[in-house]
Amino acid sequence: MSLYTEARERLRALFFRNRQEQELNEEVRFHLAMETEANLRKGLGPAEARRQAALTFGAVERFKEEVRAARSLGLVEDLVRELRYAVRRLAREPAFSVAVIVTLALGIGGTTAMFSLVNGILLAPLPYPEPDRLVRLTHTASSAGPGTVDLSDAIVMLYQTETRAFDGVAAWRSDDGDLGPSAADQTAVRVRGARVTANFFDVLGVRPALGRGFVPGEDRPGKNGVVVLSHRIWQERLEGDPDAIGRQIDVNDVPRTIVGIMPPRFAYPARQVELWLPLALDPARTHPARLNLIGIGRLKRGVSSEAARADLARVLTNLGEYAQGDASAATWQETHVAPHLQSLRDSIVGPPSKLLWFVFGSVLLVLLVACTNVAGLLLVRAERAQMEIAARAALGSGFRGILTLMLSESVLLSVLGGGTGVLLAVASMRVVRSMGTALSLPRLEDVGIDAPVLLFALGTTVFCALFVSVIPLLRARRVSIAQVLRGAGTGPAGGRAPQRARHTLVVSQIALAVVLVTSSGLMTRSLLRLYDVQPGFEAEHVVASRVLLPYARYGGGDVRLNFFQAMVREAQAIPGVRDVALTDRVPLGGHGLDMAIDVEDVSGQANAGGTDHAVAHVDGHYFKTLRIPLLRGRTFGVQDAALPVDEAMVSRAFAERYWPGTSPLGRRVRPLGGRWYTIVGEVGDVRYDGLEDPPSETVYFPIVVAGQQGTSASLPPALSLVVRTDGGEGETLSAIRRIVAALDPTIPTYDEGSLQRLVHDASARARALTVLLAVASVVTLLLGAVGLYGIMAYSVSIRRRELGIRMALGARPADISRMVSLHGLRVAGVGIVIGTACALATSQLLRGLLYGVSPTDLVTLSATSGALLVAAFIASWIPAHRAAAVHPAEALQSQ
Amino acid sequence: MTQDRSDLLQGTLELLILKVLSLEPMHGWGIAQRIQQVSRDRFQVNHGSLYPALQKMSGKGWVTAGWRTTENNRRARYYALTPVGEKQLAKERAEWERSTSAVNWILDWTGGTV
Repeated sequence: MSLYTEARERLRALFFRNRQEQELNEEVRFHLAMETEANLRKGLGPAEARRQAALTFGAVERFKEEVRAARSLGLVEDLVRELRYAVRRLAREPAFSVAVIVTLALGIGGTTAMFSLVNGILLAPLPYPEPDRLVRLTHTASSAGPGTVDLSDAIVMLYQTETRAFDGVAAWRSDDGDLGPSAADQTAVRVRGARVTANFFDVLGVRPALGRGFVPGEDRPGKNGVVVLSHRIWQERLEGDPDAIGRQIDVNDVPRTIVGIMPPRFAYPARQVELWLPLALDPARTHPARLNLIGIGRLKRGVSSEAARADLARVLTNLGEYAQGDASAATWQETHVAPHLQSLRDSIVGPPSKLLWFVFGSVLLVLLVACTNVAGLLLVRAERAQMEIAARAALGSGFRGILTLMLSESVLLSVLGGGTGVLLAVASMRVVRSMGTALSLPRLEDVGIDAPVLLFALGTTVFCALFVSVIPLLRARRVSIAQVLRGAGTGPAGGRAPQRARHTLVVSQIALAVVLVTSSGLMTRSLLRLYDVQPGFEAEHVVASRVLLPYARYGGGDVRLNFFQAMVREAQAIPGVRDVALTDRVPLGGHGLDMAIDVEDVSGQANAGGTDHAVAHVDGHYFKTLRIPLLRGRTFGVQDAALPVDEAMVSRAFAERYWPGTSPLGRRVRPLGGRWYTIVGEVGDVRYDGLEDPPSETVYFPIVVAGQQGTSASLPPALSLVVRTDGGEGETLSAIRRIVAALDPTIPTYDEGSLQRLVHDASARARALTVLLAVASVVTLLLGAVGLYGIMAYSVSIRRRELGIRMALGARPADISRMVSLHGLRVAGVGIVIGTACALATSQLLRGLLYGVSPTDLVTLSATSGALLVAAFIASWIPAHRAAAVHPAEALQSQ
Repeated sequence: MTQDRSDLLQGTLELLILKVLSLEPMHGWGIAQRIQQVSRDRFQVNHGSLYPALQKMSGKGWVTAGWRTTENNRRARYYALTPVGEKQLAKERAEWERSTSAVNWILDWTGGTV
């Protein structure tokens, strides 16, 4: 009962403060009036009566304080009141307050922004129903090495019909397409697309925003004339037409019926995919060894991955029934192919996760440095405010009062810093997303400032508030009132305990800075090494432009060849052009096709299953155009659709792998399930996929190859024209566009650009990372230096007396400044040693991200220590210099 | 004014206020006067401690306060005892008796074991 009344009273006190004050005043007035009257009746004069009455109360303000104190809500109301005082105090020192708030905002804001990446990409579940039941299906084959291979259409249909562990098995592959115009003012545009099984959307559990997905049976030949579009395409090309369902749209010159529009943020298999087409799976004509389909599945409820895997293995033994009319099926059976399951989320976010955690860790370090900095500043301030603390304690404030005094300032600063930091994070989301794109991070559509991120920001702010308050608080407990009031606290550097606290802060700041700057340095050296990496070809003055010939009008091999040869002829006539070539794979261009390659008669290798290798189809001028050195043999001759030749060329890495030390000429290779090709030449290594990877072991086939099962020659439908020119790149690309348009106005060109830019972009990821780390390092160095300077300046200022005495006793200014600087350097030195030890430990974590640089690289470590020593020296020298410039008499007098 | 006045402990003050209010509701000044009169001037309440004590007791729910007009047509805040306050009075009174009798035992002790 009493608790309730008490609480109510105190709440009233909190909220109706003014009215309570007024009532108290009125009560006091009444009391004084009665007392005055009584005094008058006793015979005192009016003035005396009033004075005597006032005396009975004592000091009125003190009295009111006591009443208020009796009424107070305890810690909370004290805190509220202290906060108001704190606001006033901080407003009087704007430089200090702004510095602290900005420091905290940078730390908290940066960490929050990074956490939004970590949360959206790594922590948040996939945005599909029951996402932990979604898995990625792959296979391991004993001869494929440590990697995995995907699925073929036969395997997909096999799994779909016979497995019992899944609610559904679906598959997809990339298939870009030309979208025909949907309005009079539109031209054909090339978009990324995917060919999917009919149950694709059902397995994911996503319903289209408009219309439907695909129905069973729509992924069969002749039935798959439908398409599902992305939300963006619906808005941009169809103007968000509510009656879009049922409309026709041309995809690669084939009219298709639109049956569905996906919701805005749907992003599987990738953010950039704009259209989904059904596959054309034909049970009568399968290619069991063409492992070009990416498989996903939804496990049945309660079925474990292990059980599902076993079930798939059981089913796989029946593959023969689905491999009609393909000779490779027999070889396939011989290999030890085993199904492999991985959670879909891991397969999407797995590869960059290490990178992401590393970046996040770096930003956390910056936060720690920022907090340490602020703690140092607050500590210094607290020591300056010792007099006030001592006075309060003497007046009976007690530990609780001191606690609220110190807490109120740090809480206020932390809250302001945290709030500003969150605003900073929100404002920087666009920068964060573009950095994510540069780093090729997946799931960027799931990244944003949402509830978990805000919660994290709140937690970080609370952590900062506690962290920056702890040290000054611990110090406050040990304040000896009498000592402080007597001024004994201004002894040698304020006594041992505060000095230890200051030193700890400085040391930790420097140690953290060392760790961060070292990581940044390692990444920078790694990047520089990447720049040195030879891509294997000469990229200057070369442009590429790609065309896709739609199957509808360019079905036959000879029709395609005519088109491409005409393109080459016209391109050679462009002024300034030196060499022209055709290829289906531009190095670093992102067109990756790896095939399982069978090598004839290689002893000791269980190669029946073939190993995946980079494959390219090129014409005879390709190597000359890109200046890829021809090491042995010869290149392809003139290509003729009537007489396809079974010739191949290999890269040096490939030759070294299978025939180390000898010539590969005359040996034979074949794509799994295809014809044998004789190797006629060996060329230098080229990096097709990424500069950080070792050079690709590549097999080159001619553009014109014999068709399957005795059909006429076949060519790849999409080829890039690669042109080496002395002219301007822009003009050459325009000329190519005109040539293609003249040959066929409906065919767009795409993937245009200079190869130099491709090489440049290949290191984009490392570059973005290095920029990020460099910024973090610079911020950390600055924070560290500023914090160090502040603490050093304070140390020197409270040593004024001591330094004055020394100078009066004969020390020269140079001695003084040297003594102080050395002191600062000693402290910094301890920090550097500790920091270097920590850096050595943590840089082991960088192992997977560094290229050509050891994590214990001596150059980087010494450069970092050097930089920090210099910073520490400057930060201690300036106050030292100032101290030495003070006149001894002044210093002795000051107090 | 040289009078023999004893100091009043804070806890005792509350006990006396409770007692005064148990007879009739009264404003702050009146309570101070009453205590002084009934104690025959032995106790002079420090007015500065009176109101904080009243505030504390109000917070604990022993008294309630309300504004009324006095017979002189002045507005004053009157305090009244609540049922909880009455129980508290009885409790504190019993405690007071226990303490004083214990002190008396010691003062009457003439030596030797009890």
